[in-house]
Amino acid sequence: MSDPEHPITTALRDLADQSGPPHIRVDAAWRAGRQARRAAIITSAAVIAVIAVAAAVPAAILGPRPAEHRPTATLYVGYTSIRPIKPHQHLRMAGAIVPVSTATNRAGKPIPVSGGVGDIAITPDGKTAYVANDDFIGTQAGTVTPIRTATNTPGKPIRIPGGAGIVAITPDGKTAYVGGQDEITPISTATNTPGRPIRIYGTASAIAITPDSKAAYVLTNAAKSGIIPIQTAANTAGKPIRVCHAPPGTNPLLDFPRLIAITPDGKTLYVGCADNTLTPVSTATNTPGKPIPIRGGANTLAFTPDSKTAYVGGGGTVTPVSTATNTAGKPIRTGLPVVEVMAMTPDGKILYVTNYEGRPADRIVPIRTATNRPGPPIHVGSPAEALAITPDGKTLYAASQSFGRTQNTVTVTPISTATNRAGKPIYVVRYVGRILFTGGDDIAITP
Amino acid sequence: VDDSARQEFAAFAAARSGALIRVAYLLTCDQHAAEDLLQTALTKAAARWGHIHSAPEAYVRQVIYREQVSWWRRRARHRETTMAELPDLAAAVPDISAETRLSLQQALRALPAGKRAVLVLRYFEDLPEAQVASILGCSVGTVRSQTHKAITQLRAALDSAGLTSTEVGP
Repeated sequence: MSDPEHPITTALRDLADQSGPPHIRVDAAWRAGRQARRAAIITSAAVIAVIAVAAAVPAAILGPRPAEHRPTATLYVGYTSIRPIKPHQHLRMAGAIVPVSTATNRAGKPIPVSGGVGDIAITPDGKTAYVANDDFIGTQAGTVTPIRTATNTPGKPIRIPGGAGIVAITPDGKTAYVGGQDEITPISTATNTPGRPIRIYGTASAIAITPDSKAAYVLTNAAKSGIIPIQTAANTAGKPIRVCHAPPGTNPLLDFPRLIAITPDGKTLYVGCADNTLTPVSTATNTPGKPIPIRGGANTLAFTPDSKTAYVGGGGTVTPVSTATNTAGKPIRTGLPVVEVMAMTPDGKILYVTNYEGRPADRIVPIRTATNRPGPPIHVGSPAEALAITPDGKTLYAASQSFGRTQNTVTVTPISTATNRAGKPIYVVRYVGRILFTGGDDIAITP
Repeated sequence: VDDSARQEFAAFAAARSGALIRVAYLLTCDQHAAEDLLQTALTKAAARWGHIHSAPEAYVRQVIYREQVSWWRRRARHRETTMAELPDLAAAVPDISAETRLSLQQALRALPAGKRAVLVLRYFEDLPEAQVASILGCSVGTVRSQTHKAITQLRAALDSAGLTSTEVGP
């Protein structure tokens, strides 16, 4: 420890005394932070949606197969432990991925990764899960850990100098795109070697890839940067697509796109904006269309497998949008305070929606897409941060985290999509004592 | 929607911003940059409030340090050259001359942000090397070498000002 009378200590105190009173916009920080959080959650929801859709394609081509002939899907749930948590002490972050067998609903041994868990993506062949090891601050060099799903063993971490906050895999399975600060790094899944980083402006918060794997679109936290298109053949960034023009006088911190998603047919990229609009962008020309007003805002998005309807979740409602005419239908009232997480069954028949903020936040509402009517809510006991549906469409998993005085847990609750009944929660991790866990918002399921 | 969390956050920001701005100022040596840094850190804290609300300060401090150091790294900024006018010294410390104190402040301002961050953590926050390394995301060896280099630089600055540098030692 340093001597309090050390000249450097004294000089630093003198220097600190020269600071003025802090002019901080606390409300703006709160709002921007909460929106960024929503954007982060959307990332994992989007990954799940892509996986569910990808799984629906072979079923459509090969025809329905009995469930017992399919390989059993594994659910991967990420968590990060942080300690100690006393003021003035550093935070040590250690992450792990827990495999949950969807056949037995049992959690396997945690697979340690280096650093915290930022995001999980699984190759379309289901053989490898890539875990972006975020330091939760997004400013340091990161790593990506490849995990062999056959043995659930981690491979050598792949160093990503620009940071690794999010990861997305092309539908052809050849490339994993890792988003960090000011950079997107392509990783060849054949060799697990990173390619030359692609420069972007801002920190990537979501990556959407077209079904033909030819183009990737990057959402960043930088307000004015627009959506960055990347040609995957050359790994070059194109001209940013300017969307989300916030009305004059609105808080500039809130002026950013918060959501991107591509229709299963790959024709349209939808961008949700903070000003409660959804903008369609043609992936052929990268030109934005007219913004569609969405009452309640665009927090999260799911498409029917036929690409005809986009369901947009916002404040308490889900709005169906026709992708042919880009017009919004009548909003569906869910009875929830806000809609933040959604998952659609692979056959597109049921959309499950839920929230983790606001009260109540312990129920999931099923919506039949044939009638656009909500069914009775399913009580899961704790707020779900992410949802995932097995490729056979039979089970919905809701991941939750809870913090108590003496116990922190991350759980997943299986729900039968046939009966909409919740089963017993599966403990992914349970720790007694003062270690703070975060988890449950990063989950992925093998195809 | 989450009004009680927002109030809790606002109460934390109101109570701790005064102390946090001092740290941010030490790292940036500029009031506006310090406010931007604190604003960013608070925004990040809001994003993870549900997870950190029981002890948010450690998280906010870590964001402040890492943001500043990485910003400096990213932009490959060599030196902070801001040289604001120094106010009158408040209280005299008997074992160090007023002139040395003033020169030390100027030398601290001239240090690169990374080295200054190491000194702020070691001598202002009074943290052991292992914790400094953990906060900055580097090794203990790097903390030691950065501290040594920073002090050498401070000594050189004092020497060139014709002042004794024996007062400044690790």
